[in-house]
Amino acid sequence: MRTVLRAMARNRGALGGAIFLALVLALAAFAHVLFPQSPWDMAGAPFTPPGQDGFLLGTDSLGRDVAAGIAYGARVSLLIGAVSTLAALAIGVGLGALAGYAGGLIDDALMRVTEFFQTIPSFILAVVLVAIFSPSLASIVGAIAIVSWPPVARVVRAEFRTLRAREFVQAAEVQGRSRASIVCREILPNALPPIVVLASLMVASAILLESALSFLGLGDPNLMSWGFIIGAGRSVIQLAWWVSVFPGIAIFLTVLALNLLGEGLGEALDPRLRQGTRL
Amino acid sequence: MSSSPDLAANVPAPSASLQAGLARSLLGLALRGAARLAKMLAVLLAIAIVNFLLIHLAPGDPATVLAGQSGAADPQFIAQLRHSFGLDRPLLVQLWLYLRHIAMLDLGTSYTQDRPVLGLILDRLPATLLLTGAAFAFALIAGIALGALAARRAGKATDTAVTILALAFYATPIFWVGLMLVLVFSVWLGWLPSFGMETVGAGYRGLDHWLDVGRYLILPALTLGLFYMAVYARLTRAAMVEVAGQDFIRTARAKGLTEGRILRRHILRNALLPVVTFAGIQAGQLIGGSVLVEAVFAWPGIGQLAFNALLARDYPVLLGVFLCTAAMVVVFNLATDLLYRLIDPRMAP
Amino acid sequence: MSLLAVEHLSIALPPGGDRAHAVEDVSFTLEPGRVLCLVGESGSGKSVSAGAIMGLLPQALRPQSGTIRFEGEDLLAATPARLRSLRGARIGMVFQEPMTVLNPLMRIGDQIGEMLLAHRWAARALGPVKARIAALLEAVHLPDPGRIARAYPHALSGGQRQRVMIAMAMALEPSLLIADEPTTALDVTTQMQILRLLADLQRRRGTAVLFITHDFGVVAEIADDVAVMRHGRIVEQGTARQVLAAPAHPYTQSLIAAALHEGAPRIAAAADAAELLGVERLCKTYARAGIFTRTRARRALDSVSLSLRRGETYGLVGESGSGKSTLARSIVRLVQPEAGAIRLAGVDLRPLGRAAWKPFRKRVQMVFQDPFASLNPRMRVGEAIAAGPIAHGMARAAALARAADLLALVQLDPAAAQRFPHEFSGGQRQRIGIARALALEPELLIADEPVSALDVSVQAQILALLEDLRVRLGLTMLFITHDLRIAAQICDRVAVMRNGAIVEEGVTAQVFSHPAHAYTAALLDSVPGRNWRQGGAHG
Repeated sequence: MRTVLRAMARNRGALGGAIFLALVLALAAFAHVLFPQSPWDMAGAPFTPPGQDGFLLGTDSLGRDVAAGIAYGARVSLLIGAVSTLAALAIGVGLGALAGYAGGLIDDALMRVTEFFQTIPSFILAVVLVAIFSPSLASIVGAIAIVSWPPVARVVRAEFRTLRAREFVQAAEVQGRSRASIVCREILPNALPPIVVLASLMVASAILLESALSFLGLGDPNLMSWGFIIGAGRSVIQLAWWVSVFPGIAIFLTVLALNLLGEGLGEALDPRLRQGTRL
Repeated sequence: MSSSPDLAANVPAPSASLQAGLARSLLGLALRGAARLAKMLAVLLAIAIVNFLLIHLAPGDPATVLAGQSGAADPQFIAQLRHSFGLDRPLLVQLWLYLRHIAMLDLGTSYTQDRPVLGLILDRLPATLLLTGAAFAFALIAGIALGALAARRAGKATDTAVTILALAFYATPIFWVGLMLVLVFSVWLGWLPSFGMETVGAGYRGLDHWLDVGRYLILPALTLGLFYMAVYARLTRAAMVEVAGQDFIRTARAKGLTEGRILRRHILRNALLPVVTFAGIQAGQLIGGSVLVEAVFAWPGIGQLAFNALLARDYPVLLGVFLCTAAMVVVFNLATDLLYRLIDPRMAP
Repeated sequence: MSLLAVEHLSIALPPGGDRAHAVEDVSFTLEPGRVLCLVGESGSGKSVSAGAIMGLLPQALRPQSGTIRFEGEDLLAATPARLRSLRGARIGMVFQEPMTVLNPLMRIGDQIGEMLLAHRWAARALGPVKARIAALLEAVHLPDPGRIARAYPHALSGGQRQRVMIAMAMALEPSLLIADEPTTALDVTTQMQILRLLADLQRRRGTAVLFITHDFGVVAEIADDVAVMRHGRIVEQGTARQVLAAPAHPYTQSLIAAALHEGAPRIAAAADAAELLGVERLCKTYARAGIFTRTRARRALDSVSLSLRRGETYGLVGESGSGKSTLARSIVRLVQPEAGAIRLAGVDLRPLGRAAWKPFRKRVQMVFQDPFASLNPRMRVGEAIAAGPIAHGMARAAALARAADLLALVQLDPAAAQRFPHEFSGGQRQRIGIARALALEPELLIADEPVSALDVSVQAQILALLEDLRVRLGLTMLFITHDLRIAAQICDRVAVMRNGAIVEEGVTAQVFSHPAHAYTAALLDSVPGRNWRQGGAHG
């Protein structure tokens, strides 16, 4: 663990990503302190350009503060990113572990289901799900989880399959240990690194997916989110570019930070990558 | 050429065995083809079932979902739907009736446009195919080129630049890239049109028409393609670096081949396999992304159709688009699978 | 003038390694038409030396001092382009792992042809490319050269691929062939065929060969001259006859002793002891079933029967794919055979389920082949050993205390219990694996190729440990190996397996001195250095 942390600290990208994520987290946590007013309220004149009248990032067509929207939007993005990733992990790890450990017909059946979910256009499925169940925090999280678990299941299954055939797992079997002990103590700890890396990348893609849904008008109507602000600013882009630009930058930097962190984790956890191969 | 007797005697045997071998491999090919086809149909059936479940899981009366929820639908129409889909009969019968509708290519009627959904989709399909095709071609070519460049100069400034570029496009929301391109190239610079597929009322014909469409195509195709370019560039780089470390590359060096030939003939060819596979799997994502891009650029494809249906809660259209895009992905996957078999001799029958 | 003269070559390792140099002050010469064996264990620097001659060292390794003269030309001073024109044309190379050395997407003929094209000036004298490829494939005794040339590598076996590599290396009639452990990854019979092919080609064409190996048996088979390497230095060199007959350096002596398997005379088991394990007509078929794909069934075990008496060591020998590992894994229920019986002290274990099997786990234990894969990298060694007894109801503290005792029993520091597997060498890990198996106090110990992944000198130690433990603890042992020399050293009785069936069985000395089955005879005939061994053992 210590070596992993040290390797992470040496990776400038991962370090930068972690620091930026901490900042976004702080912004989300203290949004109500920084901007006591609701982000939905009119705070000033419509279309105030950035820097004027004390609006750091300007106002939108209804005079709402873009900076406040971004701060409150950070809550939504991080919350949905984290919760939907946890839900997807729960489905993916469960099914993947079952398929990889059990093998045979169960594996076959579960993998067909996983393949099916990977084949169908996931974004359209998410749109249809949220539209039919009407947009809310729960339906958005559910839709994102349903379209993002297949890669987890595949990775976990592959790990379980290779680990199951490894001699130390067979040795545990020969020792007469219970299935639970073999899965929890022998297989899972060794399958964890790729799952951790995947999880950080999944939070990133969940944030992207949520922003796309909100952009299409499928966000929770009670929650201010980054995608919603961009969607609202879209029709007035000729008048007020800042309404669309700044929330986009917020999404970009957050997702970039998560990707950098994920790559750093991947390199730190995979000793093969740590050395770096040269062509 | 004079044929000696024993040579002539030998002829039938190999040709017979050749024929048998050919027959066997043809049979294998046919079986494999049948298997693929069966799998394809199974996926389509599963998608239809998912659609059916969505209609029934939705809050409220399935009939109103089928009719389009927000439309204050006329009670007679609702009653007719209820009868035609057997909504008062057991669930399995309903499923059967629904599947029969789908099998007869009846995807329902759009209440907003008062037209069969299938017709709406077929009208819009060419525009979407043009957009996704252009974006895919751009993404694949640019992505592989960039990835190969980065791998060739691994560890140097070029590699870092490509890696950063790829990482950046990988982290940017597609719709926002579209908006920014519009802002820069249409609003500020005025170089390219920002929405639509052709200049309305210009009445261009022939080549002029295509050039016109081409101008409209650039921004949406770039928007959709840049993200996937980033994906393919990263993938190509990683695959090439991995292949470069393999034993047969050392063999190639030991043979005294030039680095250029090793790169082209040995590294690149092997590295492209995972990229092609992944590109095939990603086809569904590309079509999904086109919904966003078409919404941003008002590109008159099925994505925009879905977006408008979404705004009007016109569910039959939305579900029809879902079904059709999924079918397109299945067909596309089949094509990649065949391509893969052509490239990789280990997969040959 | 020597064909190849390496003088005072030193190659530094990147800082932070366990030693400063990969190769230090190495000098040797190779005369035209002779075979020089560079012998050493893993990490001795033998492969690095070969890489330096070819100019194919990894980026991190750079020659520091010394010269490599090939046909009078200093290779360390040559330009990359010059080296490239020598590689393949004047210096050919054959590598260890035949499964990965060929490009999977290129036809065999194209891979050879590509090399002829790269050295057009040298190839022109040898006739048209297509005919040349066919002639080359024929020269390495590949059947149907035309078909092989059109085939892709995946259609060829390991031995066939190694023949292709040799054909490729010899394509331009180089004056030097470097062979880096070319037979290590092959089965014994294939190994002997490849050795004979190399020796034959070498004699006919007068090529000089630099042959890198860890096996003194191979040295006895093929070498004219020998240089023994250890920790990057050459400790002894001379003619093969001289070094094999009278090794001067203690390290060479220990390697040769290990290769001859001159263990202490073993205490034989009583020939009339009761049966502990009886396997009867055991069958296992691996099938790849599919709805549309044709089922290709493979018989891994074809009605196998054998019987182990209490206290004996029973050897199971055979080449890869013969079914010996499947048999071992069937006995401990890692593989489930579909027919037959596995009787442990009279109880048939085959029909038992997972739970009913559990009490028998204490009586049958297994030691695995790969010391790096057989220990959980994330579990402390003590925990790994104690996990078995804990699963069978022993208190945790008692189990951990016992783990420390067991580590002492396998001659490791009991403090090792607190450490993780990666802190140990291959041999030490194998001791840990043995301790783990012994933790349950088994009656029957199954050892599946327990030393094949280890260096020869370490092999000897582990074999001695196993023998010592067997006697002290009264174990019965089923010992699986592909190495007939090891089986001859430690087994009371052996069974020879081939294609899932036992072809011959009997008292070891009897089977090996008077093989009844042709396959056993072929196996024995393929043991490298067999003539030298007979001379060495008796003289």
